[in-house]
Amino acid sequence: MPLPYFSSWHAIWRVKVQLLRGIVTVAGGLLTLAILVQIASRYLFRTSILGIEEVILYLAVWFYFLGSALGAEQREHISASLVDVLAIGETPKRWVHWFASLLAVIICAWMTWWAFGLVEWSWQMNMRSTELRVPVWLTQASIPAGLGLMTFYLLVECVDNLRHLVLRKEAP
Amino acid sequence: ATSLRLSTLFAPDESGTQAAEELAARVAERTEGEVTIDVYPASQLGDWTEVHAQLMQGAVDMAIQPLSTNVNPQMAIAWFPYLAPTYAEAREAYSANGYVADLVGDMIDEQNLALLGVYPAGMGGAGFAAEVPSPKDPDAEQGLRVRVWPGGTTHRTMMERLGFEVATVPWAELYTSMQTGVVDGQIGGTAEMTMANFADITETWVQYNDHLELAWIVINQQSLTRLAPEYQEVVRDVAQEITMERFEEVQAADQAQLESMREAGITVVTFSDEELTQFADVVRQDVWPEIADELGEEVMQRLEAAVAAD
Amino acid sequence: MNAIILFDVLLLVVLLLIGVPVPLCFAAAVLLLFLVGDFGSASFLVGAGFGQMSSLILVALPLYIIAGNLMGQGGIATRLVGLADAVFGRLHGGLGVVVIMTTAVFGAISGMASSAVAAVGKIMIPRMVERGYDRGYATALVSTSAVLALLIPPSASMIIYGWVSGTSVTASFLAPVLPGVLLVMLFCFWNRVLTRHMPLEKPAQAALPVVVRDIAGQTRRAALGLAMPMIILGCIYGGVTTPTEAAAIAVLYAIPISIWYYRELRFTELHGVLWRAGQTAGTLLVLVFFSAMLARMLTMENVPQMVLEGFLGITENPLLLMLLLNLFLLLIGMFMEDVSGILLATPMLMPLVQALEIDPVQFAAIIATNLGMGLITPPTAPILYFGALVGGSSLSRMLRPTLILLLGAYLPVVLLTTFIPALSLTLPAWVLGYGH
Ligand code: NA
Ligand code: NA
Repeated sequence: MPLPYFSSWHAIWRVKVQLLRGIVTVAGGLLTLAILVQIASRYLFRTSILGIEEVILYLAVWFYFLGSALGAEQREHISASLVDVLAIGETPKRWVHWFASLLAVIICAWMTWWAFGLVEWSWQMNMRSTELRVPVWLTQASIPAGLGLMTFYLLVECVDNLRHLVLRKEAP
Repeated sequence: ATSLRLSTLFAPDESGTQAAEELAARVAERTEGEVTIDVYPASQLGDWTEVHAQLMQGAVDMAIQPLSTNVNPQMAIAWFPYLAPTYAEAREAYSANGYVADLVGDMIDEQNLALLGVYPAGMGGAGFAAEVPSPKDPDAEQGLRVRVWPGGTTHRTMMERLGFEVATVPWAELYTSMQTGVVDGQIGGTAEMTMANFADITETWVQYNDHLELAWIVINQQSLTRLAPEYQEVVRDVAQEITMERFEEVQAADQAQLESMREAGITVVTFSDEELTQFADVVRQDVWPEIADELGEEVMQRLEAAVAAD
Repeated sequence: MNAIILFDVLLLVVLLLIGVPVPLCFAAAVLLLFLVGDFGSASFLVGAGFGQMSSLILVALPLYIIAGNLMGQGGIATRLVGLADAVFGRLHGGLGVVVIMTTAVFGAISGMASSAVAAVGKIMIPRMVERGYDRGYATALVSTSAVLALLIPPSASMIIYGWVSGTSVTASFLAPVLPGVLLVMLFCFWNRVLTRHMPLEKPAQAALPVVVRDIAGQTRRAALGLAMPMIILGCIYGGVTTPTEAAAIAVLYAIPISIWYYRELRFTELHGVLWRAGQTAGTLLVLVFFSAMLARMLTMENVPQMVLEGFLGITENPLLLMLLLNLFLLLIGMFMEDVSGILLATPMLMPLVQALEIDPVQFAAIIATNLGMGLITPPTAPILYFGALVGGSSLSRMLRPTLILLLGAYLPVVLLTTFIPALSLTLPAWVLGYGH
């Protein structure tokens, strides 16, 4: 968990994370439910509900992208880093950590910007889903939302890494 | 020299991909190599709904594939059931200056695309990994579950009217789903597609002639106008040649596929003219009113008029 | 373009090794190719990635994670250990066998090797050390056998392989099962050999009726947990549901079992299970998203074809090509965990697989055994490192037994899976009639 700098910052942070977790939980629950409804409709009502797959996928993508933002908040990255395995000094390690996290912020921000481009395009073209005719940008908005939050959490991590580098404090 | 990316959903050994390669070869030859077309078969650049968006954005220049209803629901006219159940009617409606081709040309013009031609893959039908109790009775309960492709709302309604249950299963899981019995059959393809993908598990093929399975030959407008005017002509001409050649041979190609189905031990159900008319009447009467919303009033009127004129 | 592609892959690996989160390494590779290439607008790439990840097949992934976490928190590991202990605990080196069997069965409940390490390692490593097993050995055994979670369905890696290669997940689930069983037998053999000279505490002997009663009791305790994989497999292979739908049923089953029957999870904790699963699945799927973008660009640049020609340029002997394929996967497995490895390697290798006439279902098993081995092959060996963390052992102490298990169990299984198609195709043929 990131260090609490100021209490108000800390409070806002916690509310935001709680909210995010709440949304992810609800999306995950509804996602499971929608699939169960799909199975039930097939065997109990002998039909398939129009558009249920679209509902499943909409919930799924929001679940994924907001879930990944939670992962960034918890700093649970999928990593293949060799830095911690190699026998090099503490200071070089911190430099590499900081540099890697800085790159992560830049790349993630760039991708967020790209994702906005897609949402904007779908909005302009008035793209709609094939079965429910829901605007496609509503689902695609999960990408910049998730990646944007990720960028924010990565930025906080990067600042933390810089602090450890400069202040030579123990990493959290 | 300009190089264009062409995407198609047909597998490398299917006739649709061969047509795409033929198109590329003729364009290269007649432009003396100034315009080359790289063919990406088997949906390598994404499934057809996704490639449709990429065509609009110009990331893919050309495609031979169905077009999605994401921007315009009226695009469902491409597979509107029993709109043209015979080869002659289908050729009339879908080839250049046919009323469907005109409608589609106008629709995709707004999407930054140009219609070059159409590739009729074959007449549609349904394949089953089971025996179909009464395939020729449009009013019987068949007790079988058929997979309809995502977005195939027209065919959901039609198959339910024809006495089937409908289900949606991802394409990649369709084969094993038919094997294990999650679904009993699939609709939305041709005999050729069924032989290519489900030959060994198909027991029955019903040649409904519900729609002409076709792939539009389309190009992004900027990709087209980027070419010199004479090369634009070449691309248009070649696409039209491919279209007309396929219309000439599609009936025979379908017959050959049905024959190889019979040889493989598949029960092939075909309809006589009267039976076909009976199915067409039932669907036009009971199903069309329910799916008319997809096309809108204006298009429906044009369609009703065309059918009445026959 | 060749040089740029090579540079791009190099960039990917370097960023990976300096610790940039793996999904963003893929994103960086996308970015570089985009900036130097001719791809038009960037939004189509985002659309391509998004379109690919919006797949019902992939929805199985979060659902199996939820179900696995529910069962994991619901104390199923303790019960499986109890049962395995009742059956094998009285043998010499029996606790080793208990570890192997428990991880194998736990693998049928969870699709992730890391869950198996956490659940089984926490219980078994201290117990083994207490009874005289070497800590390094105990930790190595837990880590190496945790990889069975990949090979025994449901498996996150096989869902992703099926999705990326367009192969049926239903069939891909079955392919690595027999190689997994073979691995279990080899682990048991090496356990016998390696524990021979350890100063093990003699397990208490008991009369047969006592043993039988014990086994029956433990089976009853574990039965409802053991029923979950049966239900999943029954739904899929009994023709009731697709793999994704079976996962939802598994969740539906796991909730009441873990809350009201095993009473180890409170209803209020469901929230935690769900958002943590969202976190795990989301992190994986963002990786899927960026890798789909990269794969699309590589396809547009004809890289898979170039890879094929590259391989054919080295040799045209099919046997040697198969070995090279393994070497390539081994190399990827050394530096990447299984999911990234599958996402990167599968699209690139598919033309070669087709040229060699390897069935895509067999390739599922080849890739699973290779990249599964990669999880415990340094330098990037996340499961080995995680095991060390859980077991409190130094890596150097784990090195010898790990190496023996790698060379004496994994490597033979990888080679047998590659060269004997029947090993992976028999089960799909028998259950599904696959390949006829
Ligand atoms: Na598993
Ligand atoms: Na590795």
